[in-house]
Amino acid sequence: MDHTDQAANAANGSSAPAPGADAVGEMVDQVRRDLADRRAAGAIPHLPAGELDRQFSAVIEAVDAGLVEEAPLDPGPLADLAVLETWQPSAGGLRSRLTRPVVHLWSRLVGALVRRQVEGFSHRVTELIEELVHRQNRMQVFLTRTHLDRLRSLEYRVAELEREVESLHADRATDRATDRQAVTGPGEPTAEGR
Amino acid sequence: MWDQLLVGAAPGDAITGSMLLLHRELAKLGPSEIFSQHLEAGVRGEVRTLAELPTRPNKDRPLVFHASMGSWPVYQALRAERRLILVYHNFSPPEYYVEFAPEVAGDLVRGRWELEQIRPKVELAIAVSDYNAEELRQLGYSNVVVVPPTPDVDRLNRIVPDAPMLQRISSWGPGPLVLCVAQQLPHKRIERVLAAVAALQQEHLPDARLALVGVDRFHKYSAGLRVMARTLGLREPQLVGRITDAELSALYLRAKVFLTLSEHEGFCVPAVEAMAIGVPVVASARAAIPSTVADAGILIDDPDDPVLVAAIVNEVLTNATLRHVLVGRGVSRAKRLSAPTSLLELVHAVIDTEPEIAGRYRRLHGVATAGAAFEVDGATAQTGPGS
Repeated sequence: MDHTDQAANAANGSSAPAPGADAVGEMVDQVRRDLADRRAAGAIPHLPAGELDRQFSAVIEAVDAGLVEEAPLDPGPLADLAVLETWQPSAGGLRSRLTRPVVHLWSRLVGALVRRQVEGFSHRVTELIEELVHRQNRMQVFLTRTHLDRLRSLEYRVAELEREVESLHADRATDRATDRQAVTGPGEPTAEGR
Repeated sequence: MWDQLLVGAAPGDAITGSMLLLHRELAKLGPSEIFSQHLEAGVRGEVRTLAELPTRPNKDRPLVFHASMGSWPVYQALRAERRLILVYHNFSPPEYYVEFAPEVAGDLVRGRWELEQIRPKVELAIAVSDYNAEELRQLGYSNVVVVPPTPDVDRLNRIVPDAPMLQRISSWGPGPLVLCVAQQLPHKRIERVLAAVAALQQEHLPDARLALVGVDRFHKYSAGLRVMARTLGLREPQLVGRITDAELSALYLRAKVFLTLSEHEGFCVPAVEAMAIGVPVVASARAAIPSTVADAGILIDDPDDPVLVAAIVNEVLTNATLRHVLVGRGVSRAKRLSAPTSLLELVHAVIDTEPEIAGRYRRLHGVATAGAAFEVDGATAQTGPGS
């Protein structure tokens, strides 16, 4: 037990012996055993060798094809834009000072009328755009996943076919060796054996 | 007194940081310069360009070459030198770059060839880990000294964590923060980290969050990581990019576990930084990582199994005893590997090539020992010709 282990023991307020180097390994081994048990019970699927590489390779192919390059759309604060601002005339100058109160009042009046007319419309448009963005993003994720699953399943199929080809080659080699043995007879040295 | 050369210098880069620390020590003995083929804006005041190398002030002394990447212009410059000291930081495996950056893969392949070619001029070869030393021996170097790099990890303990970054981290939610600090390079296998944290969220801790600190180097790889995160269903990954030391300090302060599942590391400075600040380390048992982390972290020999990694990270996050042991050991380990210890070794290794100056340096620093003893193939170091 080193001083760090003793410190850990003190920190935990425990009187039990603190874990040493092997005890840390033991904890990790316990995690491994639990995981193996859960996998054996079917609670977690077994991960085929190279699965992560295959997934990432499919992702890179999709990136290469430009299918998943676009980031999800961010609608931002659209609701704020749906509220019309009252026009403010610029300050400065005699003419501006004279017309400013009238124009400002007129702008507020027109603004109030227009706002009343378009408020419902603009809010509805905002809601629709937000809904469309949401649907578009969900669809993009769905299509990306489907595309990647398809690529992965194709890769699995290719791997399966490669294994079949290898197996056929091996069978054929065995058949040839058997045929040669049948021709030369048992105990006769073959060409390779000489 | 000694000049140094590397292919690319950048602020925040571990090799550049190590060079700058060595430079400050060497500059106490006399004028010293650093040269680099590529240099980013943040180091322009301290590093000169490769074109200026012929005017270097210490032409009568060996040039200290930090090797981490092949480069034809740098190789040409090395050929013009008579004497060299090689500091080998390791080359990334080229096979990881063929798909993302074929030109980098070519540089990495040629880099090994270049190391073989310059071997007769190398008076001393310094490897930053046993793993790197073995690679140098395979390249025909027989006189290899192992000196750990000089990460100034304590700098993160000395600065005030960035307040806006602390606020930003708080906005990610109350769940435990899993931190990964690694440039977005293919051999770092960041996709493994994404898969493991996705499994952690799905199987154990739904509110756990991942912060990934690292510069985006290759667009295709980074785009692949973003898509991978989405398809894995990883919730709210925080891709932080390049940050300041104060921001990094804030992230380490809030991180509950440091996770790296890299396939290849010459040393792995971020793991030492995490240990120094008291963050438990979970890492892949690959390349030099086991010799850096040793028993101070949890090493996973099957980092391709995200469910296993997630279960181990969950154990570290939820088992208080395990956390305390790992934190304690990590702090001790980082102290052994940090700059005050290893920088002295590196300085001694370099200046021992000139015994007269070595004596002056030791008198200056009151070092009584007649030279640091380094293991070279099981025996004490000899500073003769490298090949």
